[in-house]
Amino acid sequence: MMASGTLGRGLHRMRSALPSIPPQRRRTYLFAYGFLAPIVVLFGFLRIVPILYTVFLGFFNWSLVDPNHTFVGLDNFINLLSDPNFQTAFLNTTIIALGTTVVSIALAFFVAAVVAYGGGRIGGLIEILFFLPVVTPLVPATLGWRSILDYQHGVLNAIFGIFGIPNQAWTTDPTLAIVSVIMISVWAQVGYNMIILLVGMRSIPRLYYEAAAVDGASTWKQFRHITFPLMIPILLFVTVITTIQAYNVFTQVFVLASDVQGAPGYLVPVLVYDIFQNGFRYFNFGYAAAEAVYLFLVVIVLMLLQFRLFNRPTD
Amino acid sequence: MIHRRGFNPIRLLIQVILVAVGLVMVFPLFWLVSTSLRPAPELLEIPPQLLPQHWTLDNYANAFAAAPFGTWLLNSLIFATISTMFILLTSLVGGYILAKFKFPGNNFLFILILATAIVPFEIYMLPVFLEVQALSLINTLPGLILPYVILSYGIFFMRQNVLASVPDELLDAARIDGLSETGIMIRLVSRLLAPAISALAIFAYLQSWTAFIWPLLVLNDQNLFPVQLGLAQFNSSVSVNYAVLSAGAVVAMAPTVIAFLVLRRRIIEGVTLTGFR
Amino acid sequence: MLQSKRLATLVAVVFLAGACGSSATPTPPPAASTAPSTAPSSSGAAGGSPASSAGDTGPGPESGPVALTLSSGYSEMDPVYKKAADAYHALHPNVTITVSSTDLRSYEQKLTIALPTKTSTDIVEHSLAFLTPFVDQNLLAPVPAWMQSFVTSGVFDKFVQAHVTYKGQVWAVPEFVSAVALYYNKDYLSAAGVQPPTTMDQIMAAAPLLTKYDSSGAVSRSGLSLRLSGQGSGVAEKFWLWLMQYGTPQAPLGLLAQNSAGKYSASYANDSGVKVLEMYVNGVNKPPLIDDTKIAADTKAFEQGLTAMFMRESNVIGDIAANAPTLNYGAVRLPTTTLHSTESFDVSANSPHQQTAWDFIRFLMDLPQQQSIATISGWVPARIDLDYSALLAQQPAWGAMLVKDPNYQAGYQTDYLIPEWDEIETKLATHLVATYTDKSLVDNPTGALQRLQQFADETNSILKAHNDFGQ
Repeated sequence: MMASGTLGRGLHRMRSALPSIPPQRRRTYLFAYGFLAPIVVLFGFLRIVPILYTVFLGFFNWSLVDPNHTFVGLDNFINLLSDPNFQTAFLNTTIIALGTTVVSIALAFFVAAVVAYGGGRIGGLIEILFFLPVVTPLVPATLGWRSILDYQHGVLNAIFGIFGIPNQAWTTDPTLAIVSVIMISVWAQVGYNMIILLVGMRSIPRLYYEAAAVDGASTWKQFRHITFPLMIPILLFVTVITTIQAYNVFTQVFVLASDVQGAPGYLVPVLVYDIFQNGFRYFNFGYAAAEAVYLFLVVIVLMLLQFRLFNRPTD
Repeated sequence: MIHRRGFNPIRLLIQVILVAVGLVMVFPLFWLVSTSLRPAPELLEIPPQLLPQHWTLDNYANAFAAAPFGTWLLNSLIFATISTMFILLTSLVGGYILAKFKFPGNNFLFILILATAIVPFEIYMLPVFLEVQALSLINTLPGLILPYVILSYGIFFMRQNVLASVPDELLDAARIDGLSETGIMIRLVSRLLAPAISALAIFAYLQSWTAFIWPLLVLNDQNLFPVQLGLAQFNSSVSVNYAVLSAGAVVAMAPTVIAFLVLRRRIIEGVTLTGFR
Repeated sequence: MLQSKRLATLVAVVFLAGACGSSATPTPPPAASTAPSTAPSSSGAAGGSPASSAGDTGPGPESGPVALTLSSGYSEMDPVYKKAADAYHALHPNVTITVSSTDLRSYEQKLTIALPTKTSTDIVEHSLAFLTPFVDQNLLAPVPAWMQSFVTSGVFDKFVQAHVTYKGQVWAVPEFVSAVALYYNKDYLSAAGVQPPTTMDQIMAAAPLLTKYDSSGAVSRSGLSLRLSGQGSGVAEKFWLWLMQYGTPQAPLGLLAQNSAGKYSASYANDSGVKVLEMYVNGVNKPPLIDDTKIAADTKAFEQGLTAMFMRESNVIGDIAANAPTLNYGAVRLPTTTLHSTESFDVSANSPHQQTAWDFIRFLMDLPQQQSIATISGWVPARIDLDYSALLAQQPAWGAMLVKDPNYQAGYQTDYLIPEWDEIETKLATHLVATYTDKSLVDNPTGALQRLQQFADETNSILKAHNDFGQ
């Protein structure tokens, strides 16, 4: 930031010399609109139009192979509600999202707290170890996990075996497969959450703790009455981001279930996979779009929740 | 919460636990590397051994012989590089103009961009597919890259950074010096924002390097696949054993993992700065 | 300016990291140009002029340089096509053919996107049942008249012809066929004193005897690998195969029934369906167990000796020869009926070289090319006028696959030729996977029927949505 400092000082001098120069309005406006226009066009074409168009598509019987699209009103939205595939997918996705969010944030909070307040020299090491999964692409990561979770030759069952626990079917049992997906999602998310929470904790003034220590407050009390309340906005932010991301779970499920002949793989039905199947496999774009709208509603509710909670006056 | 000097057994214990959990975190990566270095018969050992008994690089040779991993890596590189450059450009220009120029609709546009930043791609991917189809770009690299040329969050993030670290006075001074508006943006603003730009670059690069569902939809010629999609297809081919597959997986994750190890300070700073992944 | 320098370094390092990965190892050259340079077989040289067929031939390839592409969902067919492409190129040097192949699951995923977006290869390969949605929308080129008369000239079995006929017209050209048979491990059968089973009762009696259990009573080797999980429609296909066995050639039993008006309805929510579902549910939940969701299944399990019996197509013979050459095994026909499908060629309506594409397909129909299918890939060539004696002498298990048994002829079923069939089968498969492990259905025919009725309702509603429903 040295550069800007020098410039800043130079400019201070300049400004005092020349009190007020009206900006050449026309030229700057031309510049602003000219440069902004292509960006606005791209933004409209790649974000606004698709988002609105998703809702629009939901009202049609629309197929990738058939050029005739018929308006079906709310049919897609209503039929979805009684479609067992959608119900299962929605339920599974919600379980995965909640599981991932709760576990990853709890773990991240614990790790961040230790690093922030009792980490000593290992803080840097912990950051690396926990953050590596965040930058690892999910396809190879899931392949690694699938090998670890293998029923007969997997490391996890081998470790369980030491304690006399029988082998578990991590990838083929419908319930355990969901647990496995949560495990992988938590693994991929916790490092990110930890870093964000760590920023929050480090920004809490030490003064607060020092004052509390003088008053004889225990470590737990300091945590309970200083750290936790001050961290609530950041926790909320992390919760919303994590939940939204977890609702879009797809890659883990896709890779975990790809069945090499003979290697059993149970497909955990999730929302994005169902959208993918309905849209591109069963040629039912409208139905898939309606499903995407429901997912969108979840995201909107989560966003509103965050805004409401954020704006709540602190007591 | 306050550091106490001296030996504290409880703290030591917690630290040991933490490092142990941390090692669990990197275990899947370690396991892929370890699996990729052992001959196929060792895969069937019960219990599995942590390290290969006979080290071999054959699996890597087999992976590259069985599938075009070189082409796939190159495609990923092209995809990520072009996408990152576009995102940097659109975010910097868009963010700067939104921050520093008052015009009707400025606020509305800003709120719109902020609101879309949090909407996941999966929600609106169907219409994007139709658009790319209308442009006849299905199964092409431009079609792959198109949705990744803009990042709502990037524009928002740059705007905030311009507001925080580019004073109006500086701009006016540059104007007086006769610098054109374009010149100001390129020479002045982009330099002042260097840390933010590098943070955004890391994020954009990671985003396209790890992208999966969009490539899956838009590409069907395997010579155009980025490495993640290629790896997923390699995974479902019948004749591949786990050692060779692991070698492929290591190849697909190595670039980002190595980049992280080299640049970890910067990357972690970037995350704290952008608050986004 | 420290910051921007750092940025430059960062970008450079990221680039390098990517570049290292790609340059450290040699890039394999593109598929077609380096097809294994196997010299065309002696008979392959006969090329354009079919040796023995009553084949009509078309106008030949276009002149001038032509680049054709062909894609396949069977990687074991890759060498067959590449060999033929080389032979064809030798005959017509102006034509180069690029062959690409993946596993069937990925191929289907790609095909359903590539055809409607007009980005597919010139020649595509799949069963017509899968391709009907694209026929309906004119995304596939009509088969030229001369090729239609070749297909109907008697070089294919009648039902193979039926498999490529849709709405009264030939819509594809058969390449290879598959009939599902029951494979068994000879060593395990003789150790248990069991004869190769040829009726449902025998199969059900043999399965527990062939199953091995560990100390806790769990299945460690399945007596009959049932196919309990997996992506896509395969699970429903296996269910269907068992269901067929309760029908007769006179009164066939399938997942769908067709009425006199040609409309369909679900036909598995009945006593036979319940018997099959109970076989699965009891087989994995109630002793004597015969299979388990957790253990290896299908071809790989068979090759590793982890299952005694399972159902599959003929390509397993080739896979075993490659991966478990010492395995002592045999195959028998299924008791009454089997699933028979025909993989066939079509040309994309968008292909600029349709004339050459059809000519190459015709070339693939010639006996030398057809003959090489079985030996190279393990699939059964579609043509019936081939000599299989050498193949049978080499591996008698082929006997259960070759489709020339007059006593069995009536007992073949194939995928239904309706565009929504894939959706119906895939959705049913998803439900079945979740149902097989449901302990509440053990010895509970009422519950099983109820469950099947739910699935049938969904099947019928999909049929209704496509105007194909009729009881």
